[in-house]
Amino acid sequence: MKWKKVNKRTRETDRTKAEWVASLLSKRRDELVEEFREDDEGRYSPDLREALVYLRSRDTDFRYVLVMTDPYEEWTVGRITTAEEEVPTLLDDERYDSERDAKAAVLRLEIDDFLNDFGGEW
Amino acid sequence: MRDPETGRLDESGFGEKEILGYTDEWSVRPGDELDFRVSCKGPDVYRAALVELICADRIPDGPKYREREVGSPIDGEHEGRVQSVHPGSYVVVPDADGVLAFEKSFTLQCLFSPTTPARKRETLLSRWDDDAGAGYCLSLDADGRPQFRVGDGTEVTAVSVEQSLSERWYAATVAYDGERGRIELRVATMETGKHPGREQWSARETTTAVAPAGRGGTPFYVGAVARADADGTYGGETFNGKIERPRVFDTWLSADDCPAPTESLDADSPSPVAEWDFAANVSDDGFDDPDRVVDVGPHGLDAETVNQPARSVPGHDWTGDVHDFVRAPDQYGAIHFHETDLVDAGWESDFTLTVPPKLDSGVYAVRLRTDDDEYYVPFAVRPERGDESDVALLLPTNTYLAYGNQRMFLRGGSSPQRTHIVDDGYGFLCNHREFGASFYDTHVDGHGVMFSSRKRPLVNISPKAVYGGGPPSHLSHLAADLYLVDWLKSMGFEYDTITDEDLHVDGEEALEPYNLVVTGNHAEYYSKRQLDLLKEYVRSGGRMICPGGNNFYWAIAYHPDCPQIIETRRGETGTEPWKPEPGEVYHQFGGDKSGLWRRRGEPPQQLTGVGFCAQWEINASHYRRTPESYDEAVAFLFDGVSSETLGDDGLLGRGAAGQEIDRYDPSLGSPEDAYVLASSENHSQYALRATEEYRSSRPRVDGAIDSDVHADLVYYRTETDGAVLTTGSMSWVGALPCDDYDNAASKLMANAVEWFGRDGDLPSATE
Repeated sequence: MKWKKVNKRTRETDRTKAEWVASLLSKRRDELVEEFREDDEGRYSPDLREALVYLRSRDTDFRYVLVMTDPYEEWTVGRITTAEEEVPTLLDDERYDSERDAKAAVLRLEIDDFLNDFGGEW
Repeated sequence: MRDPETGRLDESGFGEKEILGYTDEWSVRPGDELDFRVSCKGPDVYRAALVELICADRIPDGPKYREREVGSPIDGEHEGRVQSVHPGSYVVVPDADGVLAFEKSFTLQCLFSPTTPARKRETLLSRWDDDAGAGYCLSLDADGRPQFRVGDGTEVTAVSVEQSLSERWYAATVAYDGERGRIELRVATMETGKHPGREQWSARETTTAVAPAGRGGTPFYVGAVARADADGTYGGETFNGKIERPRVFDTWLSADDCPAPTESLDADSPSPVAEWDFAANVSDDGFDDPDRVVDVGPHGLDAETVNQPARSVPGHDWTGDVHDFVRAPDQYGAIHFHETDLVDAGWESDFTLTVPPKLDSGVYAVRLRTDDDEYYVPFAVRPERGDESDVALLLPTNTYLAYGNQRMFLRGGSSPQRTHIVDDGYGFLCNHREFGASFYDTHVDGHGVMFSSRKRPLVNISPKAVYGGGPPSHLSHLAADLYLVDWLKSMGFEYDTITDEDLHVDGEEALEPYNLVVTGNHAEYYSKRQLDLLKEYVRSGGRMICPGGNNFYWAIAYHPDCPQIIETRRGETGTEPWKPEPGEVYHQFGGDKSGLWRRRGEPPQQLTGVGFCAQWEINASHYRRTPESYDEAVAFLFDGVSSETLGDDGLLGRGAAGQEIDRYDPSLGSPEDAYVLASSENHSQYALRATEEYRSSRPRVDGAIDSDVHADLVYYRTETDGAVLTTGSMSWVGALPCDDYDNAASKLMANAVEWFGRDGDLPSATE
């Protein structure tokens, strides 16, 4: 039964980290998304850096991607999954006329997904 | 799909393409004939045009996308048709004489290790016409249970063993008694080093009045059943996992009389009619013919592999003591099959291009268009023999193949700062896994993809492909190499275009005409033969410019008879998308060791002066000149360069030093008398040291605090007046067009091409 104890401890560690990220993102989502949108060089604040590492190393079965609907003029958000049966999709009717706005939209979706997951059963 | 005129995405068609194609050669000369194999789904006709590819950049304020319509007899409308593709590897035994077309009794045996049991029906051994339901077939049913079927085209009898399978070795025997109407299916778990424990047998018996029958000419398969479509017979219901030592007896063998499937046969054993030894044709150079499977039985029913399953993989009795299959072929008696293997789409030719005489050497493509979609089939044109320039651009076609049809980032392996941009081609690849994968992907069972072939559409090797590279253009591979093409043309240099494959096929003759060879943006994969040729070229006075990053990193091997197919096994270390399974690090093509050239004792530093040190620097930085760059001996390289920094801007990361970067390191073979002309600086926390750069887990591996995370611009000469200039960055080529090609990186490159390409000695400090 030793593995169950280890597993429980791991889950507690995960939860501690997730709670910290959830608290950060709940309070500062729009501010961090805007920082991400504005910074082309990736010199992010420690909080944004932590949030990005956490969100983008989560074990999910799909990824949000940017798709150019009009090359280098217009972008939208797509979803590509690892499931063989599921075809890649363009998410909605939203269109962005800059890569910055589109990548910010992706981050916003990733944050919302995480907060929704976190609000569910842990 | 994309509108071919405007480039606008057809949003309802995301994940689909109307038109695809490939060609037989990636490098031709004027006058050569080149077949194009096209599949067109939907429209009745498509339009073809021969175009020269010049620049792939389509950002609004960039150097502008350019291609030139050449005009050729193949230009114009062609009748469209759909051509199918059948992935999945297997072994096919033609058996033209029907030796294995039993009407009465027989017994089948094999060892197997399934990797995706209970996923779908998968076949072990068969002579089974799946469309007619006729013949015999030993398989795993959709629930993963071993099953035997016998059918006469009207009725099928099936018997299954109620045994839950996992990823371990099993032995299967099925005996069919046509006279008494009996079937006995026996399956045992096997004791192996990885899975100790006693053998456990499961058996089922049943009776049947059905005798195997079927259309004449149905082949015997290992790992598939026979299916047919309009294009002919192919293998379906393919297997994921290993099969070893299949053999067939033309009699009923009861459990008491039957040799165990693991047992070698001797004079006292029943005689098989066929027994395939998957490692029988191994010599010191690997497999004599990697596609041939030897029947050691009395009829010599030698077989062919289809779609390149993995050989030189450990069998059930691998001890772990030997990792080189050439030294112990008896321990490497297995073949690992995958349903996603594909090395030959097998399409028919739709038209043949005769390369126009006097066509300038360069990068070309046949552009295929429907009203709603387009596709490019690129290739290189070499000059006519004897009409070569002094300079050659060596397109890294090994790298194109390695990344061909890549879908890697679905499984992670990326920088957290990157938001992935994909194009319609990427959507298509995610939706159509039947077109095979890249060295960066894994098969459905998690086993790494070891083979890549260009005998299939390679959707992302296109001037219009947008993925993977740094911002703002995000170009990579062929599209990124077109920055070099555009720059060479814009600067007025005369040059020829050759490919990695030319180097493999023609050897030193491919390099001999040239004073200077310029490699591509990411010349990452090379065979031993190719690496030796380039080293000898420089050693004997040739000159090289390596304007890319992470060059000469992985070892590959070419198929001995089919240079369209290359192999990697990765290695036990390296920055890699998957690790080889234990005992799988030697190429089946040629038998040499795979992995990093660094681990084979030939680090890239020895040839280029630098070697891969860090990656994921999406937002590139600049280089700053070193004090030694002011030495008189290298003044010719900086003629016209007045700034302290180079590459402050760029189209692949907004700087010249980014994505994957390389560092000067004498401890790994960088020439000690080389000049480090400039080094990049100000890297970010997202630029991470390559894993082979440190021995154990450690902090301080990112560009913000680790000073070893930087690119070095290095120049060295050889005693024979050979010379090498290396930039050590994948973002470098994107810096060349900035400020209308008038920038410090461009000037330095131009000086190097000018001097390296000339006859005669290079300038030195004493002149």
